Amino acid sequence: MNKTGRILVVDDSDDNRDAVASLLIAGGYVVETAHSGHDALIKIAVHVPDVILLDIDMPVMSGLEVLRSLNVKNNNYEAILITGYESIQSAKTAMELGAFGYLSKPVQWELLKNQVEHALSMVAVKKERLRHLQVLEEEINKKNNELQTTVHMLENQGRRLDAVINGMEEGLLALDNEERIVLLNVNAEKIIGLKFSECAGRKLSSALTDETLKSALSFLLDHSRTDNKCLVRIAGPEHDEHYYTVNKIKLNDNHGALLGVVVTLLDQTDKVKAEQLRTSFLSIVAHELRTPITVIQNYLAIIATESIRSPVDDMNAACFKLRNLVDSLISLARLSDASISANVKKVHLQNSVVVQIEKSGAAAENKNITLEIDDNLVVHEFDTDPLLLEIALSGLLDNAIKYSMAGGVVSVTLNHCTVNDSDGVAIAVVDQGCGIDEDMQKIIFESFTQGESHLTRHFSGLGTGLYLAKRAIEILHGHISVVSQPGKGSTFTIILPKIK
Amino acid sequence: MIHLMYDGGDMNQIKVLVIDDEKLLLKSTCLALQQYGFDTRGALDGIEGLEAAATFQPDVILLDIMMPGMDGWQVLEKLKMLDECSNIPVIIFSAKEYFNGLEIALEHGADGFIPKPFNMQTLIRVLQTHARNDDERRRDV
Repeated sequence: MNKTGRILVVDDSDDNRDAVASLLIAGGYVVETAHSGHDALIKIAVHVPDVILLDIDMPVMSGLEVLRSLNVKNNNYEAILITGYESIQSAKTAMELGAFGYLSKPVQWELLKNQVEHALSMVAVKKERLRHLQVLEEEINKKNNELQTTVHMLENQGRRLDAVINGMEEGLLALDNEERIVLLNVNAEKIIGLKFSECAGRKLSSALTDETLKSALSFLLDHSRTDNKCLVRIAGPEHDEHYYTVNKIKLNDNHGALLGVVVTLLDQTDKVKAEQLRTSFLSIVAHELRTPITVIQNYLAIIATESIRSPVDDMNAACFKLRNLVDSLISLARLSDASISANVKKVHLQNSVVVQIEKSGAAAENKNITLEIDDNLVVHEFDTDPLLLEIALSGLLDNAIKYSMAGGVVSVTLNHCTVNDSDGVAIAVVDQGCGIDEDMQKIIFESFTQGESHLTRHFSGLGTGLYLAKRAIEILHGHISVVSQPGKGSTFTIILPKIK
Repeated sequence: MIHLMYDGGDMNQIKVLVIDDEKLLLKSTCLALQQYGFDTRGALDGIEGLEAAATFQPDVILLDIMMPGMDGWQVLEKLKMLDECSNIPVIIFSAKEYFNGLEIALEHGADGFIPKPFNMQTLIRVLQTHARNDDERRRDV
């Protein structure tokens, strides 16, 4: 089959050149001619041919020299050299320079046609290969661009995450499943006193220097424990102290195996110090208020003689009320802080109740009320906050005495019970007083309510006893409830779970 | 130093030293105790108190905690260190919030605790219970 293609005929001899050109034109090829090596190079530059027929014997620039100038291998053309005499040497050189083939003069049409066709096939293959390469290059560039975009996106996300992690208020610490440090944000570095670059990959216990922090973290990292949080006090280098809430979050994979742990450290120093300041302020307030009351009572004791017994008793009673008011106010101030937490100690429950009964003894005596304790406990020691328990017990006892009739009995019963599948304690205060109707029962635990309206108050005092009791029990994670019948009496029950 | 004497001069009178920085409280407590038959002396701060303890040789000391300068605990420590006063019982009395005042007082080496405001009868009972008896007194003379 005849292929067509563009052929450049290069020969300094006009006759030869024209002769070959005519043959090729007759064969259906597009033909261009050049009369010298230089002319050929120019013509090739202007319009690239598919096949170049090169006469070797040309003055100034021979065919071989032209061949040498051309970079046949990397171009989409082939060169066929035409020799004037049989010369193996020039043929060999021509092949070495990348010629497709050679023909000797006089050129025979069949041989020429053969070579040209084969050369054109080769050129077609080259062009196809080039097209493929170009397509591939385009694809690669496209993919490259996509990759660049993704990389930028990831870098941005990485920067954003970095900003979040280092902008956090908390110190952030990430550990792998062997407790080796894999991440430390800026605040964590400050708190621990180590740079990430210094301790990355090291086990946490070996990297930490502060003993308190070490023991707190090893406590939290003990995964057999259920605690996820604790408060740590770290003494600083200049005798300053800092408090941190340490929080542990476990990371598990899809099968429940531990991947690692994230620990956050939140500075609570200001909060803790503010609370300490408040407590010490309240102590001073208590002291200042109680001192003048004591002075008055002392003088009353001095001037108490038979003749002025009654007014002195009244004044004593007023002092007593004042004292109770002070106690209520201090408790109210303390417990109104929403963030207050229990200060857990080992408390002997029966003793606590006995102490409260003694305190309320005078008030009970005045109304001839008997105070009893019904202790059914086997184990008396209980983990709870003694101050909060005191507030709750005194609130309930004073209430029971207040609303009991003269000559009645108020009893405090102690029993073991179960709270949420663990050990707890139930303390009930039973009175035989006037009772509380259903509507009242719903609101008696709110602050500043009493069983009667403000205008018909029979009893003095702030009316905050039950509210304080409820607040105190709430902080202890317990529950307070009442069962009452108007005219028969009331039973207030405190349920306390064991605090860990 | 406030020096208050009860005329009558009862030989078995219990001697009480009250140490408290609040003037009114000190005066009224001493007067009240006198009314009930005690021989009292008062001191307004730790230093006066230590002096009075050594010279007055009370049978029992009533010691306030919240005082400027040397606080009650420091005074207590010094009292127990001085030979002349080391065996005088000390009752802490305080208006500060203590749920376990007695425990804390005993931990510091005191012998008892009374919260303020106090019931006069309670105070008298506590002082009588803890005061040194004749035998203990004579040993120091």
